[in-house]
Order: sequence, then structure tokens, then C-alpha cells
Amino acid sequence: MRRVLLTCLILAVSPVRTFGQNPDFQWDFSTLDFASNLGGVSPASLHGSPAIVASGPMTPEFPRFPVGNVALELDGTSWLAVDDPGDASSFDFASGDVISVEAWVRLKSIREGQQVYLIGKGRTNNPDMPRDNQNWGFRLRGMAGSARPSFLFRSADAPAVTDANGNVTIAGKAGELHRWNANHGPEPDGQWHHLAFSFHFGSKSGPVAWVDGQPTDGAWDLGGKTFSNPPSVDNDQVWVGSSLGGSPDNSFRGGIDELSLYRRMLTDEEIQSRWQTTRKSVSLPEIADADLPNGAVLLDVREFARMGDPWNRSRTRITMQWQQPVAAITALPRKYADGGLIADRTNPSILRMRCRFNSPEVTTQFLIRARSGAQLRIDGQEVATLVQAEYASDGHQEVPVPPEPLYEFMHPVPAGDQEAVVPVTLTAGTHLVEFEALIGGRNMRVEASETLVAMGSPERGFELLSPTDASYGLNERAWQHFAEEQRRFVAALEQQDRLAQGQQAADYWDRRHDIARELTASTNIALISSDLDQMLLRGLASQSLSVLPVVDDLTFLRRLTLNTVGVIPARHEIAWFLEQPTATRRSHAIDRFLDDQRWADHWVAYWQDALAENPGILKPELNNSGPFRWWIYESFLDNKATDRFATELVMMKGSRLGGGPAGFAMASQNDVPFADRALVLSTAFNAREMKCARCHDSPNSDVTQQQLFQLAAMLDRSSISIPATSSVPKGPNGERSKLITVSIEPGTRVAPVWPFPFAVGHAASLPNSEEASSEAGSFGHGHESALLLLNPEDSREQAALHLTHPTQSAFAEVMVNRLWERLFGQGLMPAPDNWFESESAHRALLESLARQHIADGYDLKQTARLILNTQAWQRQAAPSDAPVAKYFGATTVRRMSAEQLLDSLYAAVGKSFDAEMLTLDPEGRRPDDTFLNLGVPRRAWQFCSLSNERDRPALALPVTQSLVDLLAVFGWRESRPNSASARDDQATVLQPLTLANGNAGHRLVQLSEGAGTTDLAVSSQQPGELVRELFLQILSRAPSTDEQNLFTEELTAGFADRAVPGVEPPSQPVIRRNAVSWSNHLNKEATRIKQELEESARRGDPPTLRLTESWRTQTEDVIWVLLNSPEFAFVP
Amino acid sequence: MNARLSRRSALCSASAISATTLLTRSVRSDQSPPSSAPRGKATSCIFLWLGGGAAQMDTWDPKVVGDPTQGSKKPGSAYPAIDTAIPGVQVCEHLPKTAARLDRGCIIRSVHHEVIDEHAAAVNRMHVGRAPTGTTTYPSLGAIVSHELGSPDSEVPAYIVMGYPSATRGPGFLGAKHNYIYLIDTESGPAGLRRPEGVTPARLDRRQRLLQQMRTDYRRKYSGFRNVEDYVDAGIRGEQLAGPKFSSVFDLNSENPNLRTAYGSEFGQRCLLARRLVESGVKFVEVSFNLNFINGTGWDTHNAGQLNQHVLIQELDKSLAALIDDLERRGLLDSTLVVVGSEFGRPPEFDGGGGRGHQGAAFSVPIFGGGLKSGQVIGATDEFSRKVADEPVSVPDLHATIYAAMGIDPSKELYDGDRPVPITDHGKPIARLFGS
Repeated sequence: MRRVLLTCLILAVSPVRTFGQNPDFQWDFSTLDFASNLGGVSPASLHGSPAIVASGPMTPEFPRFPVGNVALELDGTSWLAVDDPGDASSFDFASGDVISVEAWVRLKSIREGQQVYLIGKGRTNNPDMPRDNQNWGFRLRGMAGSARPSFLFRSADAPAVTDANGNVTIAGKAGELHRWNANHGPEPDGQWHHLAFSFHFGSKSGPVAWVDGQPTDGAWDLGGKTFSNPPSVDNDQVWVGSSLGGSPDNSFRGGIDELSLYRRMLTDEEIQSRWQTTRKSVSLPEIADADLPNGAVLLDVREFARMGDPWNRSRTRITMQWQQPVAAITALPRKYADGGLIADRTNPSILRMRCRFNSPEVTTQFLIRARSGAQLRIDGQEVATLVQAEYASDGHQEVPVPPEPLYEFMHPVPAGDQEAVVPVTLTAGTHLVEFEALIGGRNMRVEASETLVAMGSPERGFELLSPTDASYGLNERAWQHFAEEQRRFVAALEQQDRLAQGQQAADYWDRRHDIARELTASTNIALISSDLDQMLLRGLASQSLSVLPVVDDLTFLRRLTLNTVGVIPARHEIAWFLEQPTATRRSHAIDRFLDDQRWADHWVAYWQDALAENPGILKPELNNSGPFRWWIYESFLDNKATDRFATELVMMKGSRLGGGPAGFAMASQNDVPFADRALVLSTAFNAREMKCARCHDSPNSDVTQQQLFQLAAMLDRSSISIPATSSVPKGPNGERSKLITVSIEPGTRVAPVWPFPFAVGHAASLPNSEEASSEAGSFGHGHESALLLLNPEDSREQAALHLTHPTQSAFAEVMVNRLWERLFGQGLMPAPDNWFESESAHRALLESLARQHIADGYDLKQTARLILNTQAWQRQAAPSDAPVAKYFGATTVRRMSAEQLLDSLYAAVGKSFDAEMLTLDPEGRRPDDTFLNLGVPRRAWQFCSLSNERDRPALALPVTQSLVDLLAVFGWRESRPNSASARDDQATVLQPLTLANGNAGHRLVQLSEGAGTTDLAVSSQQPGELVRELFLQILSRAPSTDEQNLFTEELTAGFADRAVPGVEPPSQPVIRRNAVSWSNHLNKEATRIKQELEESARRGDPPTLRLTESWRTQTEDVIWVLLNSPEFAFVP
Repeated sequence: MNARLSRRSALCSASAISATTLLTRSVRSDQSPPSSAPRGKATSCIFLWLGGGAAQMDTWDPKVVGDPTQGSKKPGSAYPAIDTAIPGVQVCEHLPKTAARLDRGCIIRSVHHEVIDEHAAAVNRMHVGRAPTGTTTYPSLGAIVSHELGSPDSEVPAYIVMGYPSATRGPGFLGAKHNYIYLIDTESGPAGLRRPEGVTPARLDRRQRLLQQMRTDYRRKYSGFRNVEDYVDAGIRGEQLAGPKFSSVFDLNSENPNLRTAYGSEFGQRCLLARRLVESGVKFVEVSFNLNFINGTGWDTHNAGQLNQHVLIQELDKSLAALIDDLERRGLLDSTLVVVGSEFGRPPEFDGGGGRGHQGAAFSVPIFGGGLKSGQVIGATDEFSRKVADEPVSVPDLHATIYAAMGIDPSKELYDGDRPVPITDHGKPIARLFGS
């Protein structure tokens, strides 16, 4: 069994004892143990940054390798060096010798012409060694998008031949480099491939290489072929993964496993026997034109396209395929991999849409839109193209003048996109339409903009191409309708894909939850809500406290929706609720809102804070992470088990900048990102605050700096050296303050070992905790825990298990307490993220609830259901410091969170945010490592810092700014560099002021076209009815008699004559588009446009003309009062 | 026990957080005695912000004139220098008005830090005075001044920004009470304070009358709930703040038209408004000079941005001189510290397009008024202003100087929860600016 010890960093090369025909040497990277049998060969040492151990080829895909097989992962800055034992060593190859190399590699990218070393002898730039002294080198060379096996050696200098008298008879000749490149190679596709190579020095027959079991020819170039010149041989080192002194350009980035060196020829048979795989074609099937579905458009995304020849399909793979009724998209559906996590697509990729449709004989126009290169073919004939874009994006470009729309209210072309219109004459009958568009490009994001095919004419207008009977116009209103429909369709498609990709993982988690139930003996427990109430009542009785009555139905409903879906109830939800039978009304409502997709929206904001999700839309700064908000969102959308949620975060897989948990691995400008991540994970999932330990032992708890860095090293899968910046420098006399203990000095290497003997709140110790076991280095040897690890040797996975272990960590209690704290306003444990020395009067309740959580398979909704159905949660509120609230004989009243408030305000008036797209590069011309696009926000959690530290008006996003202003004054964290489980909730004057007078507040109040309040104002029959409806819609309650009278009086004057005769609602919405992007923001015109938009944002929405101004403003004032009443801002 | 760290630790700026320690609660009362650092008497600060990185050798630290034209590309200043009111001290020729008033201020020519790659990071460094860390968010200069000098009962806010909002300018761990109020132009007024157009006095009256009823009812219902009461009270205080008294400060039309003309364009009007705010009791006003449409790039003069840099400098000159005169005339100059900051300077070499790159190793920050000993130049750079040659002033030192000038103990510790965080990263005020 292959196993790896993570406690040291010296690798050994050892003779191999497997596979009948042994290689002479094999590095299997299964051990980092320098103490193992070295077989008389010098050990390898690691140079550059620490090695990472990653998963290698393994069963089931590669049956020759066991599950849990590990491989060496190099990041382009590290390599292994092995000393040559001396003259004529086994590493030396001379004329007449045969050399063969074999390796498994996984490569994510290689540039055209780039040459990276797998292994070579010489050419190390070591001191005292000649330059270019390549005895042999096996490399990969980027050619035509593939990574070709490539062999390099230098012929020895030929000394001059002299006769007996010392006269030169044959002139000396300096040696030169000879290079051979294979004709084929694997794609840099992030998958494991098998490579092999054999060459007989001095033989006239050429080398041969094998790729994934198949032989391939090749050709000599540089230096040409030679069989007479012997290779240069000396005692320089053998290097794995790099050459030329560690030149980054020649260094390998990816995985290597089972790297073997032979002194004999390899055969086709043995190589074929190595390439045992169940790997199916990773491409989805190419569907022939003849097999296209009827009445639908078939779309597919192909990856591995090449910039130079993007339409060439020979090397591309279809990685996604779906059908929809229209030949148009607003965005690409996400790609999922790694158990249902967001993954990146290759840059570039190709989107293709195909359909057959019936047409009468007609001359019409086809309209196509796409961001970059695209081509439209009808019946196989190319009829229109868009050019492949190569843009300057330095900020100084002209602001493009948007093309004149072909007709009034045509949906405009987005900034940076292209459009073409061509006349086409169709015969009567069925036609085949094929539209392909390039997604991405050099320095561009892999982002599809609005990509579409439409037919029509400027006179009649255009319609999106659809082989169905439905009609999709290309006017603004129709497009907005389509875009909303498409958004829902894509969300459903993504969820389906995500769950399918995650099925195997889901099975694993089911098994794991069975084990957890057994370990915690919680298989048969079944707590019900009244049990919780009983426990709480006993606590209250012990303090001689009595309970407050439960709240009325509508107060309950407002509290419920705010606590489950994060927003006040809609008018139709109130109506539904009141129609339910009284006895079951509340439990029905609890079920309904727990089942609502907005449950996910409500949780994202909370975890963004707790997990320090901190993306920057303009160049990563200030502890920025990737935007893993999308993974949080999807986790709650899928009601992912809480331990799976935590584990996925710790594993940090998927897309880094596209929204996967890999984004958590990033902490820009932080010199030890994993120490930072360890701080976050420890507070988030084990309620153990370790922040002080970044620089010294914690004076407030027993956490040491060593422990923090041990956890960090587990996440890093490697020892970590404590940098000088993570310490407290000594004073001039070598002293430090006596209040601080620095128990380990900078420069100390800390190994990846679970740092805690036992978890918070428990006395049992885990195997492989520092005290319990150091012999094996593997998790839970001989323990049930071992069953829970997919790769027992991966320290990151070990850390995840330690953090979430059902019996050994406080995980379930921490998660349940977080939920309780959110629902009641205070937790069963006082601080959700730091339990050190905390006591709780409700410990037994917490433990019961945690066991039930485990019994329920870590299902958070189930636990929430249990709590929401208690009487305790449904009681009237008391001040948070009142004893009755401390013992949960009442809930507390909290101000809405910033997100609840913003979402509720817009829901109350029936408007959408109308925010700008959250990017400073809407054209997509900058890569996502500098510019992110977080999309158009629909819920408050989707906002982010607008990053205008440059103070440039042209970078302003005025509408978004007004919304972000409101969020920020109510405690939203614009920047989230650290984990926080509670916000600054003090009242400041800016809160009511910003709501009352800010641009967002102003817009909310305006009775404009499209607002729910406007329709209500227009359709109400009586002023009294309007008052009642406004109260229900905004405050979720009926007005009191006094309020009814007071407000009715305000709305009565002019009510009867409020309608302006002859004014109809406009048929088309206002079109808002601008062409300012990073590429042109330094242009004066960009500033002018943005200043105009700022002015427009100040003005807000144009008022409806259907109502008289005087009555409209009266009504707006009433709405203003209800929105600005303190009642609105509090969760009842 | 003195819990503060050694001077040496302050030199290691990346260890700013490391240098701060989490101490036990008992230590909190065990504060170090007030330091002997000098203290000034300024009551307000106007922080003029030249976003983008103003070129020191094209403004306050002139050197031999270079040549950006293709081919020769001789490093040096872009413009000739002129004499100033401080004998022997020169500035660039586009600053004649300020030059004549330089005896009211000082130029610090030796400010330095190591952040150059990215504007946001350098802007952050200049505002919070330390490197970012993952464990807390530091407060900005303005927020600290608000925390130290602002009063919760004041009828005016302590901290106002004229520019775009950003976390960098925010209160960090000091909390929302010390956040700024901002405005992006003088015409539209501050976000949240100025009533939207169309809300007539009659409408305002209706709104307030009805709201008062709702407030009273709600407060009665939740009597004893501290958070509800605080929020209701904040609403009432907010109404006063948005009321005619403070709003009138923003009405520049009440100023003499000649004075408005003297201040110049939008940046000048911001300076004028800053004076009015300071006069009304605001403690810290940051005024962003972000008119990048004059030359495209603002002070970030890469490539062609250099071509019209002199227009920016002239605008700055006009407005700054008008501000100094105005403050002086009103007897406010001694109590108002005017600081002209930027995220970094620029190198003497010209880039391919005739502009300049970034340089954090040496740049200038002029300061005026504030009761400091004026008429001095602090520090010096080498021949081409690439490096500090004498009297280096770190960003913490600069911050310490600003705090000291405002009577704030620069060695004081603030608290992020239980954790003491020195107000500056062990900065020392520039001693020769203090005393008579």
C-alpha cells in the first residue's frame, strides 16, 4: 500500500520491486520518508517551495493504482535534485547505452513553445558544472496545444585529433544540443496521462515515445539527429521537475507519479499493459445534424479549443450539452466537477447552437450577436461571421458609440459585444442553422455574453430563432422576459448537473452519516419540538421565570420569513398563510419557507462573514479571497449536510476565481494564507479563536502559535516555516514583553500534525492527535475514523475530519448553536465563534440538539424545523438582557441585518435593485485574476466592495453605490478580511438618514412604472383599502384604527380624481446601457457618461404619469413613512 | 509593565499586526503613561488627496529638468523650478501661488513606503498607516480623529469625505459611529443628508408628522428595548443633522462670488466647502482631487497622462493658495492642519509614452498651518529624488505627526475588542515641527 508521511520533506529514490520487468529506478512519490531503504542511492532533496502531495491516478479510473494513491504535485517553483553517485554511475548514459523513461503526468497548461522538464541529468546551472551539460533530458514541449514528449541531450565536445607530432589532423568540435519532439502528446487537460520514451544512443533507429499506451513517432530539430556523437557525461545532478537553475519557464506545473528510469528498450506490449484505464471518452457524444432534436435548439460547449485555430474540432471535447427552445443565451451555465463543485472551463471554449426549423420561401435577415469570433452557417453554408477579438484594454481606448438600434426599443448590444446582420433567402422547407461562438480569448475572461441568433427585419423587428411555435421578440420588454425565463432555466439545469456530478460524493456522505450515527449512538433518537420546550421550561422554572405569550399569526409570519428566506412576506404569501387551517397554519408555513430556494440567499450573507469571503472586483488586494459565495449559495440551495459543507471548504477544490471553494485558499497579500485560513476554519467550525496565535501564544486561552501553524501546515499539506512577520520582534536587548510568550522563533518549521489533543468541550482524544499517535502519521489507524477518509494520507482531508468529527470535535454543536443564535438572537453558548472558557446554562439542550442534528444526517433545515416549531421561538420578545430572554422564555428583538433590510425594502415596494453588473470590465477583456465579474445582483448578499480607491468617477457604479451605501451603514462588511460571527449593530444617525434621504431610499418611495406600489395605487378602490394594503405589504400587519384613520385622511384628498385620463402604462421599459469599461475609463467621455449616470441615480425613477402629481406625492410620503418607521427595520 | 513594543518592531511594517498583541483584560487598565511626544493645538484637519500618485519631482521636490521626448529620455523634473517664500527652497513653476505662501507650511520630502504595485494597496497604506492583515480591519486617519476628537453629542459629524467611499477610508474596528459621511460633488451634497429633490417643506412636514406618530407608537410598544430606543433616537438626531443648520454649511452660494472664483474649479469648491465644514466643527475632512478628465489619468501620469499634468498642478496651486489665504483671513490656519497626501510618488525616468511609473521609496507631503513650526523642509532625496537621502519619514511617522499636531497622543493604544492596537505603528512625530 502506498502511503506518505507528511512529516519530512526529503524524498528518496529506491529500487523498485514491482512489475516483473523492473525499472532501474522508480520514484513513486508514495513516501517522503528519507529513513526508508535508500538502496545505496543518494537521497533526493527538494528545492524551492514545499512539495504538495496530491491525489494520483487511482482506482476505479486506473485499476493498477489503489484508491488513495498519491502523487507529487509541483507548482513550477520547486524541483527534486538527486546527486550522481560518481563516475559511470547508473544515471550516466554513454554512446551505446539505452535510456527509457516512463511517467504518469497531469498537466493543466502549457504555452506554445514552452519546454518543461520532467526529468533530466545535467544542465542544472550548478556551480562548477559546464553550461548545457545535458546528458539526457525528458521534457514536455507545448506544440499545437498539446504537450509533446521531447528528448534533449548535448553531444560531447569532440577534442581535436593530433598525430604523434602534435599536429591537428581532425579539428575539435564543440558539442551541441540535439532535440527530438514527438508528433503527438496529451492535452494539458488536468487529467492523468501516461508517457514513455526509449532511445538507443548511437543507434541509427530513432527514438520512440508512447502517449496513453500508443506509440508515436517524432522528429529531430535543434542540432539535428546524430548517431556518431556521444552524449556528454559528467557527475552533475539528476533533477525532477525543472532545470537551468530552476528557471520558472522550464519548470513543471502539475502532478507526476511513478516516474521510472530504465537502461533498456521498452516494448509496445508492456506500455500497453501499463495504460489500463476505465476512462471513457471524456467527451459527450457528438450528435449528428440528422439526429438533432425536433422543436429544440441543441447547445454544446466544447473545451480545449485553440486560439490559433478555434473552429478546428479535432482536439476539442464536448463537456456540456443541453436543449432549450431558443437560440440565445444570457450567460453560460456553470460547469461542475469534483463532486458537484464549480469548475473552470478552458480558455478558449466554443459555444455551439444548432437547430432545424421550417420556413416558407422567404427573403429575410439573420442577426447574430456574440462577444468575440463567431460564425453562422445555414444548411452548411457560412452566411455571417464575427471577427475574433484582440483588444487593447489599457484604459485609454475610445468609448465606443453604441450602434444605432435597428428599430425603436430593440434590445441593445451589450458593451464590448459584436453584432452582424445579413440578408438570407430561404427556400420553403426545413433548414439547418448552426451558430458557433468563441468564449474567452487571449487575456479575456471565459465568459459568454448575450449570444444569439435572430431573424427578421428592421421594419418588422427581429425575433430570436426558435424551432418552436413560441415567439421571442428582440425588443427590450420581450428580452427581459426571456432573460428571466432563461435565468430560471439555467439555474435548474445547473442544479441538475451539480447533483448528478455530486452523486458519488452524496453516497459517500450517506455512508459517513450512518457511521456518525453509530459513533454517537444517535441512530434512534427522535427529539421533537416540545422536548425542547420542556427543557427550556425546566430552566425557566429553576430561575422562577415565567414565559411570555406567543405572538399573533402575522407577527409570527414576518418573523418566520425573515428568519428563513431573509425577507418580509409578500402580500400573496400573507394571503396563503391566512387561508391555512388555524391549527396547522404555523407548521405549514414553516415547511413552506424552509422549502423555499431563498433559504439559500438568507444563509450566504452569514457565511460570507464567518468564512471571510472577500472578493475584490479590481485586482486582488487586502486579503481578498476568491468569490466562493456561489459555492455557499449552492450548498444551501442543495441543503448540503453541514459536515460536507465544512469539509468541502477545507478541501478547497473546484474553481478558484469562478466561485468554487478553491477561492477560500486564496488570501492575497497574506504571507501565510493557510495560517489565515486555519484561523477562519477554527473559529467557524470549532468555535476556537486562534487569532493571537498568528504572532505569539494566546494570552487569553491555551492556544499556542505552534498549534495554529500545525493546522496551517495540514491545510498546506506541507511543513510551514514561521515567517519573521508572524512573530513579535525582540527588543534591542533581545527581550520581549513579559506579557507575550513567543514559544517558537521565526524560521522554525512546523509539521502538519493535528494540534489539539481533544476538541473544545470534549475530553476524548483522537488517534493521531499530537499526544495519541505519532508512529503512523496516518489518521485513525485501526479506528472507525479511517473509514471516513477517502485519502487517509492527505493531511488536508485529515484536518477536515478532525474539524467535523462526530465524536471528537464540537462541530455539530457549533453548527447547531450558530443556527440557534441566528433564530433567537442569542446562542445557547454565548459567542458563536469562541467557546473558550464559556459556560452555558443550556449545555444539555445544546448536546441533545447536536445529537439530533447528527441523527438527521447533518440536515440544517431539519434542525431549523425543530426549533421553529417550538413555543419558545414563537413567543413575544423581551429585551436581550432580560433574564427571561436569557433563558429563552422570550425571543429578542433585533434590527434587521443589512441584507434583510435591503431585500425587504425592495420586496415591500415591488421593485428590483436595477443595479449595474458588478464588474469594472463589462467587456470581459481582462482575465479573472485581475477583474472579476460578480454579475447583476438580485439579492443583497451578492454585492461587494466597489473598490474605487482610485477615486475615479469613470469607475463609479452609481445605482449600486446607493445600495451599497445603505448596506454599509446598517453593518454590512464591505471588506471581510477576517471571520466575524457578529456585526457592529450599534445605532448610528447615518442609518435612518441614509434610508430617509439616500438615493436608494428615494428610489424606493417613487411611484414609477413597474413598481408594485404603483399598481396598487392605481388599482385600489378606496383610500382606506389602499392604506390597509400598504400596511400589509410593508409592515405585514393591518393598521390599527388610529393608523387607519390617520393615513386614510392623507390619501383621501384627490383620490377620486387621481387617474390622469388618457395615459396608458408605457409598452416598453426604459433601456439603460452604457459603454464605459476599464478599457476606456480614462477617456473624458467615460467620466462624462458616469457623471450623467450619477445624476440620473440621484433623480431615481421617473414617476408614473398615470397619477396626478399631487396625489402621487401624498402617497409617496405615506410609503416613505411606512418604510422609514423604526418598526420596519426590526425583526419582530 | 509597559506593554508597548520596541522601536525595532515598528521598522518591520509587515509585522504591524504581529506587533500588536492580544493582552489579558487586566492589562487594559495597566496602560503606559502618556508619552512625552510633542502635542499641537490644531482642532481640525483638511486632508487633500491627490489620488493616483503625484510626481514629487514635478511638484514639491524639483530636480534638474529632464526630457521625455523619444530617444533622449533624460530623467528629471518635467518643469523648471521657482523660488518660494522659504529662502533657498524651490518648487515647480506651476505652483507660483503656493510658493509665495510656503512660509505658512512645510514640505516633507522624505515620506516613503514599499507599496507600489497597486494603487488600492498604497492608498490603504497612506490612510491606515500599516500593511493589511487577515485578523482585523484597521481604521483610517479620519476615523481615528473622529474617535479621538469627535463628540457623540455634536450637532455636526466628525468626519467627512469628498470623494468615493471605500473601506480604506472607513472606521475599521472602531465601528460605524466613526464612519464618514461622503459626497461625490459639491452640487449634490452629502449622501443621506441632503433631501431628494422634490421633497418640498410641505411634504417634509407631512412625512415628519406621520413618522413621529409611528415612532412614538413603536417606542412605546418596545419600551425598555435598548436597541429600539437607540435606533429611534438616532433617527431623531439624524433629522437635526439633516436640518437647516448643518445643511446650510453645504450652501456655497452663500459665499462671496469672488472668493468662489478665487478657489477655482470643482476641486477648489471642495476646498472651500472643507473650510466651511471645519468652521462648523467638523474634525477631519478628506478632499479628493479626482478630476482625472483633465488629463485622462489624474495624478497617475503614465504615458500621455503626463501631457496635461501641469493643468492639474495649476489647479492644485490655485485652490490650495486660496484655502491657505481663506483660513488665514478667518484666523483658522493655526487650528487647521492642511495635509496634501498621495499614495506614492513617481520616478524621475519617463516611460515609453513620456509619462511616469510609480515610486514609493521617496515622495513629498506638504503640510500647512495647524500651529506647526512652518517655513521648513523636512528630509531630502537624492539627486533624482529616487531615494530618501536624509531624515526619512515613514508613513507611521507622518500619521504620528498629524495626530500630535491635533493634540492626540501618537503612542496611544486603541482597542479592537480586548486587543490593544497602537494608534500608529510606532510612528514618531517630526520633532522639529513642534515648539515655538
